[in-house]
Amino acid sequence: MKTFSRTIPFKALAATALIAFATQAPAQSEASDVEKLRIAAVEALISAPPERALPLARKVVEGNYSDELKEKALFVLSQIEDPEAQELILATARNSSGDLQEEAIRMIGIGGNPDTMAQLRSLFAEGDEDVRDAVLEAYVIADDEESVYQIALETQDEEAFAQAVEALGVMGAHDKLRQLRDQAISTGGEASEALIEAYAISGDLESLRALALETSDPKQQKQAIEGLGIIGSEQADAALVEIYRSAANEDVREAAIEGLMISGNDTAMLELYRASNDASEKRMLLEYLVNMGSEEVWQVIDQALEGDE
Amino acid sequence: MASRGWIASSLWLLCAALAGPLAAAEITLRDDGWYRWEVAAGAGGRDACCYEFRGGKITGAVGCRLGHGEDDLAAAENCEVGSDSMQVFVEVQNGRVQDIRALSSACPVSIAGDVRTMDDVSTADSIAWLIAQVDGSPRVAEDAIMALSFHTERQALDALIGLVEDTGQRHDAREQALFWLVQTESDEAFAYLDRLLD
Repeated sequence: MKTFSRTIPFKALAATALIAFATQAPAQSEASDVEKLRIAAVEALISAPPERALPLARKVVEGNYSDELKEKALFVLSQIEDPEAQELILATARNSSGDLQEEAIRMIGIGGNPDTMAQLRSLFAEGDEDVRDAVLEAYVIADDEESVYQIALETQDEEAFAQAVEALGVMGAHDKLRQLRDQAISTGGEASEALIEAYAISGDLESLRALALETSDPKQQKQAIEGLGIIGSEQADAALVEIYRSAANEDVREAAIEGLMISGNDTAMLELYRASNDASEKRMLLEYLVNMGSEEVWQVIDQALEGDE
Repeated sequence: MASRGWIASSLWLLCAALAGPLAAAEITLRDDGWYRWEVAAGAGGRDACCYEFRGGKITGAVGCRLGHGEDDLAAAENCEVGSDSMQVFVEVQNGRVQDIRALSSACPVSIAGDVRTMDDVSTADSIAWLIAQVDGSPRVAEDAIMALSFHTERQALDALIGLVEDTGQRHDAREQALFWLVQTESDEAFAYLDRLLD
Protein backbone atom coordinates (compact mmCIF):
# COMPACT_ATOMS: atom_id res chain seq x y z
CA MET A 1 0.00 0.00 0.00
CA LYS A 2 1.44 3.30 -1.05
CA THR A 3 0.97 5.99 1.52
CA PHE A 4 2.12 9.53 1.90
CA SER A 5 2.45 11.50 5.03
CA ARG A 6 3.21 15.01 3.94
CA THR A 7 1.43 17.55 6.02
CA ILE A 8 -0.79 20.08 4.41
CA PRO A 9 -4.19 21.48 5.27
CA PHE A 10 -7.10 20.15 3.29
CA LYS A 11 -7.89 23.41 1.56
CA ALA A 12 -4.50 23.35 -0.09
CA LEU A 13 -4.87 19.84 -1.45
CA ALA A 14 -6.90 20.78 -4.50
CA ALA A 15 -4.23 23.10 -5.66
CA THR A 16 -1.23 20.84 -5.27
CA ALA A 17 -1.08 19.88 -8.92
CA LEU A 18 -1.24 23.52 -9.78
CA ILE A 19 2.10 24.19 -8.20
CA ALA A 20 3.77 21.61 -10.34
CA PHE A 21 2.11 23.12 -13.39
CA ALA A 22 2.91 26.63 -12.38
CA THR A 23 6.54 25.83 -11.86
CA GLN A 24 6.91 24.19 -15.23
CA ALA A 25 4.64 25.86 -17.74
CA PRO A 26 5.99 29.41 -17.60
CA ALA A 27 9.53 28.17 -18.08
CA GLN A 28 8.49 26.94 -21.51
CA SER A 29 7.31 30.31 -22.71
CA GLU A 30 9.14 33.50 -23.37
CA ALA A 31 6.88 35.48 -21.08
CA SER A 32 8.47 38.34 -19.23
CA ASP A 33 9.22 38.11 -15.54
CA VAL A 34 6.07 40.04 -14.68
CA GLU A 35 4.00 38.02 -17.10
CA LYS A 36 5.24 34.81 -15.50
CA LEU A 37 4.26 36.06 -12.07
CA ARG A 38 0.88 37.14 -13.36
CA ILE A 39 0.32 33.71 -14.83
CA ALA A 40 1.28 32.10 -11.52
CA ALA A 41 -1.06 34.49 -9.70
CA VAL A 42 -4.02 33.71 -11.94
CA GLU A 43 -3.33 29.98 -11.72
CA ALA A 44 -3.27 30.22 -7.95
CA LEU A 45 -6.76 31.71 -8.04
CA ILE A 46 -8.16 28.28 -8.81
CA SER A 47 -7.85 27.44 -5.11
CA ALA A 48 -9.15 30.79 -3.89
CA PRO A 49 -12.73 31.35 -2.71
CA PRO A 50 -14.92 32.19 -5.73
CA GLU A 51 -15.82 35.63 -4.41
CA ARG A 52 -12.09 36.39 -4.25
CA ALA A 53 -11.16 34.86 -7.56
CA LEU A 54 -14.00 36.27 -9.65
CA PRO A 55 -13.08 39.99 -9.58
CA LEU A 56 -9.47 39.27 -10.46
CA ALA A 57 -10.36 36.83 -13.22
CA ARG A 58 -12.81 39.40 -14.59
CA LYS A 59 -10.10 42.02 -14.55
CA VAL A 60 -7.87 39.80 -16.67
CA VAL A 61 -10.53 38.63 -19.12
CA GLU A 62 -11.80 42.16 -19.74
CA GLY A 63 -8.43 43.87 -19.61
CA ASN A 64 -5.51 44.38 -21.92
CA TYR A 65 -3.62 41.17 -21.18
CA SER A 66 -2.05 38.40 -23.21
CA ASP A 67 -4.23 35.62 -24.55
CA GLU A 68 -2.27 33.15 -22.43
CA LEU A 69 -3.16 35.01 -19.26
CA LYS A 70 -6.77 35.38 -20.35
CA GLU A 71 -6.99 31.67 -21.05
CA LYS A 72 -5.80 30.94 -17.50
CA ALA A 73 -8.43 33.32 -16.16
CA LEU A 74 -11.11 31.65 -18.28
CA PHE A 75 -10.26 28.33 -16.69
CA VAL A 76 -10.61 29.86 -13.23
CA LEU A 77 -14.00 31.27 -14.27
CA SER A 78 -15.10 27.91 -15.64
CA GLN A 79 -14.75 26.47 -12.14
CA ILE A 80 -16.90 29.13 -10.52
CA GLU A 81 -20.60 28.33 -10.32
CA ASP A 82 -21.78 31.88 -10.50
CA PRO A 83 -23.86 33.42 -13.30
CA GLU A 84 -21.41 36.32 -13.52
CA ALA A 85 -18.52 33.96 -14.20
CA GLN A 86 -20.52 32.09 -16.81
CA GLU A 87 -21.53 35.34 -18.48
CA LEU A 88 -17.90 36.40 -18.73
CA ILE A 89 -16.92 33.16 -20.43
CA LEU A 90 -19.87 33.38 -22.78
CA ALA A 91 -19.07 36.98 -23.67
CA THR A 92 -15.51 35.97 -24.50
CA ALA A 93 -16.77 33.07 -26.58
CA ARG A 94 -19.02 35.43 -28.51
CA ASN A 95 -16.90 38.54 -28.82
CA SER A 96 -13.31 37.38 -29.18
CA SER A 97 -11.67 35.55 -32.04
CA GLY A 98 -9.05 32.97 -32.82
CA ASP A 99 -7.49 30.83 -30.12
CA LEU A 100 -9.00 32.84 -27.27
CA GLN A 101 -12.51 32.41 -28.60
CA GLU A 102 -11.99 28.68 -29.09
CA GLU A 103 -10.56 28.34 -25.59
CA ALA A 104 -13.55 30.19 -24.14
CA ILE A 105 -15.86 27.79 -25.95
CA ARG A 106 -13.96 24.80 -24.61
CA MET A 107 -14.17 26.29 -21.11
CA ILE A 108 -17.93 26.30 -21.43
CA GLY A 109 -17.70 22.54 -21.91
CA ILE A 110 -15.31 22.15 -18.99
CA GLY A 111 -17.61 24.17 -16.74
CA GLY A 112 -20.62 22.20 -17.95
CA ASN A 113 -23.12 24.81 -16.78
CA PRO A 114 -26.42 23.85 -18.48
CA ASP A 115 -27.52 27.43 -19.18
CA THR A 116 -24.19 28.36 -20.73
CA MET A 117 -24.00 25.08 -22.63
CA ALA A 118 -27.36 25.92 -24.20
CA GLN A 119 -25.77 28.95 -25.85
CA LEU A 120 -23.32 26.80 -27.78
CA ARG A 121 -25.87 25.98 -30.46
CA SER A 122 -26.00 29.55 -31.74
CA LEU A 123 -22.20 29.76 -31.69
CA PHE A 124 -22.05 26.61 -33.79
CA ALA A 125 -24.58 27.94 -36.26
CA GLU A 126 -22.78 31.25 -36.68
CA GLY A 127 -19.19 30.05 -36.46
CA ASP A 128 -16.58 28.98 -38.97
CA GLU A 129 -15.07 25.52 -39.05
CA ASP A 130 -12.70 26.22 -36.15
CA VAL A 131 -15.50 27.58 -33.97
CA ARG A 132 -17.69 24.62 -34.84
CA ASP A 133 -14.84 22.28 -33.90
CA ALA A 134 -14.44 24.07 -30.57
CA VAL A 135 -18.18 23.86 -29.89
CA LEU A 136 -18.20 20.14 -30.63
CA GLU A 137 -15.15 19.68 -28.44
CA ALA A 138 -17.02 21.45 -25.65
CA TYR A 139 -19.91 19.05 -26.07
CA VAL A 140 -17.51 16.10 -26.06
CA ILE A 141 -15.86 17.42 -22.88
CA ALA A 142 -19.29 17.81 -21.27
CA ASP A 143 -20.35 14.40 -22.64
CA ASP A 144 -23.47 15.97 -24.16
CA GLU A 145 -24.43 13.45 -26.86
CA GLU A 146 -27.93 14.81 -27.30
CA SER A 147 -26.80 18.29 -28.34
CA VAL A 148 -24.34 16.92 -30.89
CA TYR A 149 -27.02 14.58 -32.21
CA GLN A 150 -29.44 17.49 -32.64
CA ILE A 151 -26.81 19.43 -34.58
CA ALA A 152 -26.20 16.46 -36.87
CA LEU A 153 -29.92 15.99 -37.31
CA GLU A 154 -30.75 19.58 -38.10
CA THR A 155 -27.81 20.93 -40.05
CA GLN A 156 -28.07 21.27 -43.82
CA ASP A 157 -24.32 21.76 -44.12
CA GLU A 158 -22.56 18.57 -45.16
CA GLU A 159 -19.29 19.58 -43.53
CA ALA A 160 -20.99 20.51 -40.26
CA PHE A 161 -22.80 17.18 -40.36
CA ALA A 162 -19.50 15.36 -40.80
CA GLN A 163 -17.96 17.28 -37.87
CA ALA A 164 -20.91 16.46 -35.61
CA VAL A 165 -20.94 12.82 -36.60
CA GLU A 166 -17.22 12.53 -35.95
CA ALA A 167 -17.78 14.01 -32.49
CA LEU A 168 -20.46 11.40 -31.83
CA GLY A 169 -17.95 8.77 -32.89
CA VAL A 170 -15.39 10.11 -30.45
CA MET A 171 -18.04 10.00 -27.74
CA GLY A 172 -18.85 6.37 -28.55
CA ALA A 173 -22.47 7.36 -29.12
CA HIS A 174 -23.56 4.15 -30.87
CA ASP A 175 -27.28 4.69 -30.42
CA LYS A 176 -27.21 8.26 -31.73
CA LEU A 177 -25.17 7.24 -34.76
CA ARG A 178 -27.57 4.39 -35.51
CA GLN A 179 -30.50 6.79 -35.18
CA LEU A 180 -28.84 9.07 -37.72
CA ARG A 181 -28.47 6.17 -40.15
CA ASP A 182 -32.09 5.16 -39.64
CA GLN A 183 -33.07 8.75 -40.20
CA ALA A 184 -31.09 8.88 -43.45
CA ILE A 185 -32.59 5.64 -44.71
CA SER A 186 -36.12 6.69 -43.81
CA THR A 187 -35.71 9.76 -46.00
CA GLY A 188 -34.40 7.75 -48.91
CA GLY A 189 -30.74 8.32 -48.20
CA GLU A 190 -27.97 6.02 -47.02
CA ALA A 191 -25.25 5.83 -44.42
CA SER A 192 -22.82 8.55 -45.38
CA GLU A 193 -19.07 8.22 -45.49
CA ALA A 194 -18.89 10.34 -42.32
CA LEU A 195 -21.28 8.01 -40.51
CA ILE A 196 -19.32 4.91 -41.42
CA GLU A 197 -16.13 6.57 -40.27
CA ALA A 198 -17.85 7.47 -37.01
CA TYR A 199 -18.97 3.86 -36.53
CA ALA A 200 -15.33 2.87 -36.83
CA ILE A 201 -14.15 5.58 -34.44
CA SER A 202 -16.82 4.63 -31.91
CA GLY A 203 -16.09 0.92 -32.25
CA ASP A 204 -19.61 0.01 -33.41
CA LEU A 205 -18.85 -3.49 -34.68
CA GLU A 206 -22.48 -4.43 -35.15
CA SER A 207 -23.29 -1.53 -37.47
CA LEU A 208 -20.11 -1.91 -39.47
CA ARG A 209 -20.54 -5.66 -39.91
CA ALA A 210 -24.06 -5.10 -41.23
CA LEU A 211 -22.79 -2.53 -43.72
CA ALA A 212 -19.82 -4.71 -44.64
CA LEU A 213 -22.18 -7.50 -45.68
CA GLU A 214 -24.46 -5.16 -47.62
CA THR A 215 -23.57 -5.54 -51.28
CA SER A 216 -25.86 -2.95 -52.85
CA ASP A 217 -23.29 -0.16 -52.57
CA PRO A 218 -19.73 -1.44 -53.20
CA LYS A 219 -18.08 1.82 -52.15
CA GLN A 220 -19.93 1.88 -48.85
CA GLN A 221 -19.25 -1.81 -48.33
CA LYS A 222 -15.53 -1.32 -48.89
CA GLN A 223 -15.42 1.57 -46.42
CA ALA A 224 -17.31 -0.46 -43.81
CA ILE A 225 -14.95 -3.42 -44.21
CA GLU A 226 -11.92 -1.20 -43.75
CA GLY A 227 -13.71 0.41 -40.79
CA LEU A 228 -13.66 -3.00 -39.10
CA GLY A 229 -9.88 -2.79 -39.33
CA ILE A 230 -9.94 0.57 -37.56
CA ILE A 231 -11.84 -1.03 -34.67
CA GLY A 232 -9.04 -3.55 -34.46
CA SER A 233 -10.68 -5.80 -31.87
CA GLU A 234 -10.53 -9.58 -31.87
CA GLN A 235 -14.17 -9.79 -32.99
CA ALA A 236 -13.65 -7.20 -35.73
CA ASP A 237 -10.63 -9.09 -37.04
CA ALA A 238 -12.58 -12.35 -36.98
CA ALA A 239 -15.29 -10.64 -39.03
CA LEU A 240 -12.67 -9.50 -41.53
CA VAL A 241 -11.31 -13.03 -41.91
CA GLU A 242 -14.83 -14.33 -42.43
CA ILE A 243 -15.56 -11.64 -44.99
CA TYR A 244 -12.30 -12.45 -46.78
CA ARG A 245 -13.07 -16.15 -46.93
CA SER A 246 -16.62 -15.70 -48.14
CA ALA A 247 -15.96 -12.76 -50.47
CA ALA A 248 -17.91 -12.83 -53.69
CA ASN A 249 -15.45 -10.65 -55.56
CA GLU A 250 -11.87 -9.45 -55.52
CA ASP A 251 -12.73 -5.93 -54.30
CA VAL A 252 -14.28 -7.28 -51.12
CA ARG A 253 -11.34 -9.60 -50.53
CA GLU A 254 -8.93 -6.74 -51.01
CA ALA A 255 -10.93 -4.52 -48.63
CA ALA A 256 -10.88 -7.27 -46.01
CA ILE A 257 -7.15 -7.75 -46.31
CA GLU A 258 -6.66 -3.96 -46.15
CA GLY A 259 -8.76 -4.05 -42.98
CA LEU A 260 -6.49 -6.67 -41.44
CA MET A 261 -3.48 -4.58 -42.38
CA ILE A 262 -5.04 -1.49 -40.75
CA SER A 263 -5.74 -3.61 -37.69
CA GLY A 264 -2.16 -4.85 -37.75
CA ASN A 265 -3.24 -8.46 -37.36
CA ASP A 266 -0.43 -10.32 -39.09
CA THR A 267 -1.32 -13.54 -37.30
CA ALA A 268 -4.71 -13.70 -39.00
CA MET A 269 -3.12 -12.81 -42.32
CA LEU A 270 -0.53 -15.54 -41.88
CA GLU A 271 -3.31 -18.05 -41.25
CA LEU A 272 -4.94 -17.00 -44.51
CA TYR A 273 -1.59 -17.40 -46.22
CA ARG A 274 -1.07 -20.89 -44.87
CA ALA A 275 -4.63 -21.92 -45.73
CA SER A 276 -4.33 -20.77 -49.33
CA ASN A 277 -3.43 -23.11 -52.17
CA ASP A 278 -3.41 -20.37 -54.77
CA ALA A 279 0.07 -19.18 -55.67
CA SER A 280 -0.99 -15.66 -56.70
CA GLU A 281 -3.06 -15.26 -53.56
CA LYS A 282 -0.15 -16.46 -51.43
CA ARG A 283 2.13 -13.96 -53.16
CA MET A 284 -0.34 -11.15 -52.53
CA LEU A 285 -0.70 -12.08 -48.83
CA LEU A 286 3.05 -12.35 -48.49
CA GLU A 287 3.43 -8.83 -49.89
CA TYR A 288 0.98 -7.55 -47.29
CA LEU A 289 2.86 -9.34 -44.53
CA VAL A 290 6.12 -7.79 -45.68
CA ASN A 291 4.51 -4.35 -45.88
CA MET A 292 3.22 -4.78 -42.33
CA GLY A 293 6.74 -5.42 -41.12
CA SER A 294 5.58 -8.74 -39.72
CA GLU A 295 8.22 -10.69 -37.84
CA GLU A 296 6.43 -13.91 -38.68
CA VAL A 297 6.94 -13.36 -42.37
CA TRP A 298 10.54 -14.55 -41.97
CA GLN A 299 9.28 -17.88 -40.79
CA VAL A 300 7.31 -18.15 -44.03
CA ILE A 301 10.25 -17.06 -46.15
CA ASP A 302 12.58 -19.53 -44.44
CA GLN A 303 10.11 -22.32 -44.99
CA ALA A 304 9.69 -21.32 -48.63
CA LEU A 305 13.44 -21.34 -49.12
CA GLU A 306 13.56 -24.80 -47.59
CA GLY A 307 10.88 -25.88 -50.04
CA ASP A 308 8.23 -26.57 -47.40
CA GLU A 309 5.72 -24.15 -48.83
CA MET B 1 -11.16 -2.29 5.16
CA ALA B 2 -11.21 0.88 3.21
CA SER B 3 -7.92 1.79 1.64
CA ARG B 4 -6.05 4.59 3.21
CA GLY B 5 -4.33 7.42 1.53
CA TRP B 6 -2.66 10.45 2.90
CA ILE B 7 -2.76 14.01 1.89
CA ALA B 8 0.28 14.54 -0.21
CA SER B 9 2.36 17.63 -0.40
CA SER B 10 2.65 19.59 -3.57
CA LEU B 11 5.92 18.23 -4.80
CA TRP B 12 7.43 15.08 -3.40
CA LEU B 13 10.82 15.61 -4.85
CA LEU B 14 13.85 13.62 -4.03
CA CYS B 15 15.80 16.45 -2.69
CA ALA B 16 19.21 17.62 -3.52
CA ALA B 17 20.91 18.58 -0.34
CA LEU B 18 20.86 22.09 0.98
CA ALA B 19 24.12 23.90 0.64
CA GLY B 20 23.18 26.93 2.68
CA PRO B 21 23.83 27.70 6.32
CA LEU B 22 21.80 26.09 9.04
CA ALA B 23 21.81 29.21 11.12
CA ALA B 24 19.74 32.28 10.52
CA ALA B 25 18.78 34.91 13.03
CA GLU B 26 18.51 33.22 16.44
CA ILE B 27 18.01 29.67 15.24
CA THR B 28 21.07 27.47 14.94
CA LEU B 29 20.82 23.78 14.22
CA ARG B 30 24.26 22.36 14.99
CA ASP B 31 23.78 18.59 14.95
CA ASP B 32 21.94 16.03 12.90
CA GLY B 33 18.45 15.05 14.03
CA TRP B 34 15.03 16.58 14.47
CA TYR B 35 14.39 20.04 15.91
CA ARG B 36 11.11 21.58 16.95
CA TRP B 37 9.89 25.02 17.91
CA GLU B 38 6.51 26.66 18.42
CA VAL B 39 5.20 29.99 17.19
CA ALA B 40 1.81 31.60 16.78
CA ALA B 41 -0.20 30.15 13.89
CA GLY B 42 -2.02 31.92 11.09
CA ALA B 43 -5.13 30.54 9.40
CA GLY B 44 -3.19 27.93 7.45
CA GLY B 45 -1.23 26.65 10.41
CA ARG B 46 -4.11 26.29 12.86
CA ASP B 47 -5.36 23.01 11.41
CA ALA B 48 -2.24 21.75 9.63
CA CYS B 49 -1.87 18.04 10.25
CA CYS B 50 -1.97 14.69 8.43
CA TYR B 51 -5.43 13.68 7.32
CA GLU B 52 -6.94 10.37 6.40
CA PHE B 53 -8.38 10.11 2.94
CA ARG B 54 -11.02 7.45 2.24
CA GLY B 55 -13.29 7.07 -0.73
CA GLY B 56 -12.20 10.40 -2.12
CA LYS B 57 -13.05 12.24 1.08
CA ILE B 58 -11.16 13.58 4.04
CA THR B 59 -12.39 11.59 7.02
CA GLY B 60 -10.38 13.22 9.77
CA ALA B 61 -7.00 14.20 11.14
CA VAL B 62 -4.87 11.28 12.22
CA GLY B 63 -1.65 12.92 13.35
CA CYS B 64 1.69 12.62 11.64
CA ARG B 65 4.62 10.25 11.88
CA LEU B 66 7.81 11.90 10.76
CA GLY B 67 11.07 10.27 9.80
CA HIS B 68 9.58 6.83 9.26
CA GLY B 69 9.98 6.85 5.51
CA GLU B 70 7.24 7.31 2.93
CA ASP B 71 5.03 4.51 4.20
CA ASP B 72 4.03 6.34 7.32
CA LEU B 73 1.05 5.21 9.29
CA ALA B 74 -1.26 7.28 11.42
CA ALA B 75 -0.01 8.67 14.71
CA ALA B 76 -3.53 8.97 16.11
CA GLU B 77 -7.17 8.53 15.14
CA ASN B 78 -9.67 11.29 14.35
CA CYS B 79 -8.01 13.86 16.54
CA GLU B 80 -8.91 17.51 17.03
CA VAL B 81 -6.05 19.60 15.70
CA GLY B 82 -7.23 23.19 15.94
CA SER B 83 -4.77 25.43 17.74
CA ASP B 84 -3.66 29.05 17.80
CA SER B 85 -0.05 27.95 17.69
CA MET B 86 1.96 25.80 15.33
CA GLN B 87 5.03 23.65 15.64
CA VAL B 88 7.82 23.69 13.11
CA PHE B 89 9.81 20.48 12.74
CA VAL B 90 13.15 20.44 10.99
CA GLU B 91 15.26 17.41 10.19
CA VAL B 92 19.00 17.84 9.69
CA GLN B 93 21.00 15.07 8.08
CA ASN B 94 24.71 15.19 7.35
CA GLY B 95 24.71 18.80 8.40
CA ARG B 96 22.02 19.76 5.91
CA VAL B 97 18.34 20.53 6.25
CA GLN B 98 16.46 17.55 4.89
CA ASP B 99 12.87 18.19 5.85
CA ILE B 100 10.68 20.98 7.17
CA ARG B 101 7.16 20.42 8.47
CA ALA B 102 4.81 22.96 9.94
CA LEU B 103 1.89 21.52 11.90
CA SER B 104 -0.73 22.72 14.30
CA SER B 105 0.51 22.45 17.87
CA ALA B 106 -2.46 20.19 18.60
CA CYS B 107 -1.58 17.81 15.80
CA PRO B 108 -0.20 14.58 17.32
CA VAL B 109 3.28 13.90 15.99
CA SER B 110 5.38 10.78 16.31
CA ILE B 111 9.02 11.09 15.31
CA ALA B 112 11.63 8.41 14.83
CA GLY B 113 14.42 9.45 17.15
CA ASP B 114 14.92 12.29 19.56
CA VAL B 115 13.61 15.77 19.03
CA ARG B 116 15.42 18.84 20.32
CA THR B 117 12.85 21.42 21.37
CA MET B 118 13.99 24.99 20.97
CA ASP B 119 12.43 27.39 23.42
CA ASP B 120 11.65 31.04 22.96
CA VAL B 121 11.80 31.13 19.21
CA SER B 122 10.02 34.26 18.03
CA THR B 123 7.87 34.46 14.93
CA ALA B 124 10.41 36.81 13.41
CA ASP B 125 13.24 34.34 14.04
CA SER B 126 11.21 31.46 12.65
CA ILE B 127 10.38 33.41 9.51
CA ALA B 128 13.94 34.61 9.03
CA TRP B 129 15.25 31.06 9.33
CA LEU B 130 12.68 29.71 6.89
CA ILE B 131 13.38 32.46 4.35
CA ALA B 132 17.05 31.48 4.47
CA GLN B 133 16.08 27.90 3.54
CA VAL B 134 14.44 29.05 0.30
CA ASP B 135 17.92 29.13 -1.16
CA GLY B 136 18.16 25.40 -0.56
CA SER B 137 17.02 22.46 -2.62
CA PRO B 138 13.67 22.83 -4.38
CA ARG B 139 11.97 20.51 -1.93
CA VAL B 140 13.33 22.22 1.15
CA ALA B 141 12.47 25.58 -0.40
CA GLU B 142 8.94 24.45 -1.04
CA ASP B 143 8.56 23.14 2.50
CA ALA B 144 9.95 26.40 3.84
CA ILE B 145 7.55 28.55 1.82
CA MET B 146 4.57 26.48 2.89
CA ALA B 147 5.69 26.74 6.52
CA LEU B 148 6.10 30.49 6.13
CA SER B 149 2.50 30.82 4.98
CA PHE B 150 1.28 29.08 8.13
CA HIS B 151 2.66 31.82 10.38
CA THR B 152 0.49 34.63 11.65
CA GLU B 153 -1.01 36.63 8.82
CA ARG B 154 0.90 39.89 8.94
CA GLN B 155 4.34 38.30 9.17
CA ALA B 156 3.47 35.57 6.71
CA LEU B 157 2.18 38.08 4.17
CA ASP B 158 5.27 40.25 4.46
CA ALA B 159 7.54 37.24 4.07
CA LEU B 160 5.67 35.82 1.10
CA ILE B 161 5.41 39.16 -0.69
CA GLY B 162 9.08 39.72 0.00
CA LEU B 163 9.87 36.43 -1.72
CA VAL B 164 7.62 37.20 -4.68
CA GLU B 165 9.35 40.52 -5.20
CA ASP B 166 12.86 39.23 -4.66
CA THR B 167 14.20 39.07 -8.21
CA GLY B 168 17.28 37.28 -6.87
CA GLN B 169 15.17 34.25 -5.94
CA ARG B 170 14.56 31.32 -8.23
CA HIS B 171 11.42 31.84 -10.23
CA ASP B 172 9.76 28.66 -9.01
CA ALA B 173 10.22 29.81 -5.42
CA ARG B 174 8.63 33.17 -6.24
CA GLU B 175 5.71 31.42 -7.90
CA GLN B 176 5.25 29.15 -4.93
CA ALA B 177 5.26 32.17 -2.66
CA LEU B 178 2.47 33.62 -4.81
CA PHE B 179 0.54 30.40 -4.56
CA TRP B 180 0.77 30.29 -0.78
CA LEU B 181 -0.06 33.96 -0.62
CA VAL B 182 -3.42 33.14 -2.18
CA GLN B 183 -3.89 30.35 0.34
CA THR B 184 -3.78 32.85 3.19
CA GLU B 185 -7.12 34.17 1.87
CA SER B 186 -6.42 37.54 3.41
CA ASP B 187 -7.66 40.85 2.00
CA GLU B 188 -4.11 42.05 1.63
CA ALA B 189 -3.06 39.02 -0.36
CA PHE B 190 -5.77 39.65 -2.93
CA ALA B 191 -5.09 43.36 -2.96
CA TYR B 192 -1.49 42.47 -3.76
CA LEU B 193 -2.57 40.22 -6.63
CA ASP B 194 -4.75 43.05 -7.91
CA ARG B 195 -1.74 45.35 -7.94
CA LEU B 196 0.36 42.71 -9.65
CA LEU B 197 -2.16 42.70 -12.47
CA ASP B 198 -2.06 46.48 -12.91
